[in-house]
Amino acid sequence: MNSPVTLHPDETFVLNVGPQHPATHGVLRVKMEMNGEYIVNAETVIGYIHRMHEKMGEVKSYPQFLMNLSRMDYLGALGYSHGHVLLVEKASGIEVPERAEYIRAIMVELNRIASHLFWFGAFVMDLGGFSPLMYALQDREYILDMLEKVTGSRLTYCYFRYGGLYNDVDDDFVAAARNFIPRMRKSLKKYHTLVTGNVIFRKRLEGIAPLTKEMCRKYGASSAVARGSGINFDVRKNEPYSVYPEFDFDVPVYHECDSLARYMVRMDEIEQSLRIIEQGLDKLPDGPVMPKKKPKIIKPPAGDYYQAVETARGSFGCRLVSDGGKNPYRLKLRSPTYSNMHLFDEACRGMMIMDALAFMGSLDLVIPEIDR
Amino acid sequence: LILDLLRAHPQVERGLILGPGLKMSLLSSVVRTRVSRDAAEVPTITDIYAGANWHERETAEFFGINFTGHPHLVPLLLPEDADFHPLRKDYKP
Repeated sequence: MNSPVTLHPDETFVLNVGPQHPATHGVLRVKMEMNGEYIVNAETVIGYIHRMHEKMGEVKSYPQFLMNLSRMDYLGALGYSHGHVLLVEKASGIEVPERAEYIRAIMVELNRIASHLFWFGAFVMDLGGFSPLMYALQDREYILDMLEKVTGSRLTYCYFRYGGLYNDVDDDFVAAARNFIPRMRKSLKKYHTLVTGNVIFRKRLEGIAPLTKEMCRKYGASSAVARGSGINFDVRKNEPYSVYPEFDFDVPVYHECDSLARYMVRMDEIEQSLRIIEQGLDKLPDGPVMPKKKPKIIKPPAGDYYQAVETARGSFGCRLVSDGGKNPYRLKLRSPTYSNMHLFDEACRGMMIMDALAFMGSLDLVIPEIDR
Repeated sequence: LILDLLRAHPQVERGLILGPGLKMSLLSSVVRTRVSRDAAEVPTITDIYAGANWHERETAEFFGINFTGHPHLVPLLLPEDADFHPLRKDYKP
């Protein structure tokens, strides 16, 4: 679509975006070869905040490593812990009480909404609109307060334990969560009037940065990036885990393949998460949140285990190779943004730089999660 | 051919390196190969699945496996002058 029009067709220069740049939302560097305003070639340089979580997984015992998961992705931390605890429970055969499973699902969905809200605010701010961020943060704050009361922290939660939860929810939480649902639905309507219908906003996104289905498949993209390009893939539906089969929810899929489609998918996902929370609160069973019988030391039998979950940013995979010891033999963390970011180099060729930055925003990047 | 997700899962085991394994989610199949520890070399699959590019670079720097034919096999996450392979079991810090 974007064909470079220039007076000096052979003249290019290199533009260095980052590693400290507001548009990259973290320490990410992109070396762009430019021809005027158009990108000829781009190379993403990552690894600025690489912390070697996989090695830490090998040298630490299972409970010691648990808190690392929430440091991977600071916006949707619970989803990552969920994947890890599910994996270890599967490997060592720990039974999880039903109440704990439901609370986990509710918490993860609340965290997903909080993450999407922050992304929404930051994304619109990238495009030049400041006030939506303030509205989004107001709603996010409500969620964080709710989670803080139960989990004890606001951002890097370490709430899930092998077999259950650290703390049971009380009636206050249930009431607050019930209040939150109509409040969020009202806000969603507000966002759609304020932002989605805005002409300037739509012109920056509609038809911009088309990602074909083939491209998404080639790079292993997931989350809204794949679903905005017509790929109906959601781990919660395709490889169901935990109590998700009990819930009735839809997977929003758009076929426009542009940045606006990715935006719409995430906004629709907020509504679907609300539906899950609503059903979860209705069905919430009584009972303990930790199992009666649980091994004192977690030692999964030797073998090879894999668990994928749908986090706010896409399909997070956790693979464990155990030799029967106290530490994992190998722990591989497959982070979703790693693959989503990877396609940026190829996709942004021929794009204008403003469009590329809007495209980068629509990928929903969290850099610590790419670098691990 | 449907390829949705691609994950490199290398591991070092009993003097041999098993890897890289690819998991294709919609096909649910895993491909595995074995290579020797001292001369670890695997042909690249970047020309088939472009998404393998970063995974191969990561595997190369963490495990010291050479991917022959890779277009740009330089360290991705580690510093560019890193000459160690931290996830190998014979690695001593």
